[in-house]
Amino acid sequence: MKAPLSWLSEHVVIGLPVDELASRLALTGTEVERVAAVGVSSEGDVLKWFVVGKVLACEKHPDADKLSVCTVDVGEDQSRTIVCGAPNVRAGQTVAVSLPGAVLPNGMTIAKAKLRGVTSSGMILSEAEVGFEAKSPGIMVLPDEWEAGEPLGDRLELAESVLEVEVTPNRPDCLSIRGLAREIAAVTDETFCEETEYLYPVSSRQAADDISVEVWDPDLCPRYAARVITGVTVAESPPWLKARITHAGMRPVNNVVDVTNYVMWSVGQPLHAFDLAMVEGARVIARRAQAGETIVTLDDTKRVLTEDMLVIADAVKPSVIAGIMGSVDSEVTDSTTNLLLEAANFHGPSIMRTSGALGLRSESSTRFEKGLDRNLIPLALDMACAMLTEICGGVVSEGTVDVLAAETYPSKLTLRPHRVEQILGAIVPTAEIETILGRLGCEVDECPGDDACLLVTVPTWRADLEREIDLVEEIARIHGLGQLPSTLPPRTEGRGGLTQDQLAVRRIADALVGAGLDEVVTYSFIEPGWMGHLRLEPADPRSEPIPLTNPLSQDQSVMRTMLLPGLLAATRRNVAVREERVHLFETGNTFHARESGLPNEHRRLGVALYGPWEAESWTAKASPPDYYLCKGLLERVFALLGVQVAFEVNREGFLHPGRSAAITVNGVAAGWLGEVHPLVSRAFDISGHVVAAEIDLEVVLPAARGVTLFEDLLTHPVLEQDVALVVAEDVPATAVVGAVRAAGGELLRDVEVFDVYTGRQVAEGSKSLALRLTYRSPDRTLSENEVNQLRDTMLAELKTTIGATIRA
Amino acid sequence: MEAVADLAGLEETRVRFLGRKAALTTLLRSIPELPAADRPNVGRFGNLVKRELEAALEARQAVLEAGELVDALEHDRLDVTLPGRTLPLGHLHLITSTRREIEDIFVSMGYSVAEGPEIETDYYNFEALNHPADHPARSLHDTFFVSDDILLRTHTSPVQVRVMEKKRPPVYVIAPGKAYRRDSDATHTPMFHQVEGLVVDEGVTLADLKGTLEVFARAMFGSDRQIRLRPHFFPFTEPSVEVDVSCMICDGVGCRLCKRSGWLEILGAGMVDPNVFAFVGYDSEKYTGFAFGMGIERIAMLKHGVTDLRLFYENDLRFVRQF
Ligand SMILES: [Zn+2]
Repeated sequence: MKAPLSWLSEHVVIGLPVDELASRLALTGTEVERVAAVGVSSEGDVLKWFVVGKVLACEKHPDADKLSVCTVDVGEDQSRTIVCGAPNVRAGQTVAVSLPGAVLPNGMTIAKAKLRGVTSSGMILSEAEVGFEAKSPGIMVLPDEWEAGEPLGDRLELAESVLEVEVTPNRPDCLSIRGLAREIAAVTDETFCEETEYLYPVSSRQAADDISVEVWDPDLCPRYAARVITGVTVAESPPWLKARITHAGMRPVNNVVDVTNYVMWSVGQPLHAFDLAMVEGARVIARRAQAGETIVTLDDTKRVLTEDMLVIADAVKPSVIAGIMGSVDSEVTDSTTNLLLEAANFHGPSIMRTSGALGLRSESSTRFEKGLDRNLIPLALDMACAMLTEICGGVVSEGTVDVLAAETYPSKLTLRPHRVEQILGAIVPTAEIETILGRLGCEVDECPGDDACLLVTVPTWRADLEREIDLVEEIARIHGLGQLPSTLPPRTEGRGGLTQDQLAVRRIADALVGAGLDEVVTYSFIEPGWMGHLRLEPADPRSEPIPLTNPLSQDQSVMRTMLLPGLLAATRRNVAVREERVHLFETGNTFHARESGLPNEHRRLGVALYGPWEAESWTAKASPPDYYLCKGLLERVFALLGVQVAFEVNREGFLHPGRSAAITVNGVAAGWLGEVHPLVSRAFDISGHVVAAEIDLEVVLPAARGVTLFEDLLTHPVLEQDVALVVAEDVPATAVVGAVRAAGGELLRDVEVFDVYTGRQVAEGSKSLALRLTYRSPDRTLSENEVNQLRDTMLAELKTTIGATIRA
Repeated sequence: MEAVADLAGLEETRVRFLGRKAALTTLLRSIPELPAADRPNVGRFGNLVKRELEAALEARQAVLEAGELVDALEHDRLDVTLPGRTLPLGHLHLITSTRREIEDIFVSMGYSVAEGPEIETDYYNFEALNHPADHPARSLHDTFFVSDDILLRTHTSPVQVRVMEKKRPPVYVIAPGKAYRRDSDATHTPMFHQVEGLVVDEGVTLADLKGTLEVFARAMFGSDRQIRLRPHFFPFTEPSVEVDVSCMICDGVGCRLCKRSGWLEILGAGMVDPNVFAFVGYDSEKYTGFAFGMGIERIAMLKHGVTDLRLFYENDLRFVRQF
């Protein structure tokens, strides 16, 4: 909301410098986004170069067709010669003159100049040249009562300060100059004053003779009032009005439209002026649109309406989308002479829905959608009638055709002063409470029969004050939040802290960071095509991510089901800027559709490794990351969590078929790891190997170890034996280790593969696995002999279970 | 012996005096051939000489070896200014490290950390937070929808409601996490991170909110920071405030970062609206509470001087590795 300071000053004395006012408003809840100086600079005394002038004579320039040479009285001993290029300049006009030395808002400095041989000592101004409108066809013509030489700044707002105020949605009353002025008065302890009585010429004609109003849908239109004005002349607005309209951020159109906008800005009630001649059947009907009904709005767009939208129609057609925008056919034009002036109240939520559905917002709709005070209507109509008859001429027909569903009365609320203390934690004396509420336009009495309680009558323009707590807020903000003490809550019981799972997620991230990985945070919504790059089976639920119904763009339109695509995109981004080592991880949710209700969300850990683990340096050769590196990282994570996992051969379309594994925890799928399939890397524009993994933390974290119990590993030392087993090449190491564990007996505590050999020393199609067997007994120290026996029994069994032989 | 200069010379000396062909060795070997009466004296004397020679050789060897080690070490030099072996150090994303910092401050004040779903129902995201359907406040949120009543949460505030549904007061909780709004420009990303805070207990006041946030601001931005509360509007708190911290660059005097105001907005907060308590069945006469919500990116930008929000989501390692 743009509020010119001069306009506010008509209603309240502004005693503070404008930046102090802005800060006072900010600290009481009205944010001033900026204070803009518009128009002519007010610095120093430069305004003195702008004066009222009288054109005494106006001759054609001898050497230029389009220029006039004017003799202008600017209140000096001698009149000045001023060359003017405007087509509308005439002798006898009262005009605005800038003298040499003046600086216009566009930065141009006026100087004595020769124009085609004639010396011009000044310039006759148009509205546009002082920022009263964007473009002017000719010079600005001023009222004849203004005298030559009068400072122009005394008559017009040449240098205006405009407060740009952010109004919160609960305060539609502040979307008006009067509302803001009332707020300024309340927070600066000044008096608010407004004109409420307006005089205008009234004819003997009755408005009700010329027009009928029918409200078919009072739920959407609680009040509709209309007045008739006849005999107006539609023309340009006077300069002061154009200035106000422009400074308020609107665009001057013509005097009728400008007046309705001016009144809307002043009191907060939108108005609509119809050309009465265009109202078919002299009927005004507020009704729901018929499905498919169309209207071409003032922005030259054809709008298709639905049955939940309210229109203002005549006997034949809709002419306004109620409260939002009028149609081109009911617009006031230069030939309009009789006006129907509408001031109505519309149902806020319905205006918001309609404006949302049509994607059409206006100054009017932003006010109506927040809910307006229907008691504003008579004031707005009176003010508009007075201004219209003064500026556009004409006379007002007697009476208002006013269809009102129900009167709105000021509401009464009870307020317990101790509740103020209970909420704020500070005592505000009851006398101060009464003063504050009084400044906000409330009346405060004692509750009948209860002197510990106040009865507060709330003015109808503050419909946001509905409950005691709303009054507490008003008291808090005017009393001043800066006055509050700083205390801490009186905690009565309990303790805080992170959960085991939250700690575990931190430890995982720390472990990966410690291992040299960098964390990324990628968007939860991704490009749907990315899922297509992953070569998933059509039946794979991961290939059908949840779409957003209103994405910002195609590349952020579906919710990820995997972290991998985002990690690959992040990898590509870094490869593209020539990063050699891109070792990334991310923890974040994936989203999985369900039949009904909210989707499942799984917190997952993703890893992607690209580029050498150790950079090439004088101490080391660069080595590309491989499956075993990634697996080692995961094993480190699982070890720190104390989770037992199994790695099994697995086929995911997006991984290298021979270099990938599925991860399970207690038989439940918990993720995968492997080299990314070359076709997938290529689809993500990455050349070179990427090794990646994803772990479902929803599965892994619950399996994490709780409290670790002590085990005596010191009294009876372990006994280690190495053995080399020859098995068929396609027997996976886990199968060998599993068989060894099964056959080893309870004293075999650990089995570790420390070497693999294939080659001439073993038979074709076989491999040799070197295992370190660790034996330990909790209650005695084992002898070599005892362990040899255990081992021999085991080896005999392995021969039958996995066909293993001892390597010679 | 003192004249022997190195271990090789020492070995020569040993061979000369104690080697198989040395005079002493020859003498001792010839003892059985000597007259019986001479044998004890020659033997005793010969062995005495041998032992003294051996001791002298050993002593000299120790001296020479020590000297040679010193020489060897002296010559075995590295260029100690060459870089060390690369042991890569990874980095948490700045969002994570900032989130942890915020969590730790509140955990140290006795708060728990709660989490909730990122895809939410209209009920938890709006309705139960006192944003009824068609309320103008909803238009402040540009919401991503999954269906008519399922959406991407626009703030982490729904977790408030979920916590209160499960637990009676006292409640001391923060809820960090992702939130989404349909907005993308220099100062908005469609996904962002928030930390929500909620305290409900008997006797909790707006002054307690102020004190709590003062503790937070000082822990986060330095012990001489001031905060100020400005009234604002949020549907689910009443009174509602925005909270500013005194500018850490200019210390409140006014600079470019704080747009000459001396203050930087860090979060929104307020006293929990009685309507919200009604949704979860808390007695708003008995219990009062406050809630606050802050953007993690905003806090990180202020603390670390990051000037472009979009850097957080570009995942360029030149950014990630700075922190
Ligand atoms: Zn500053």
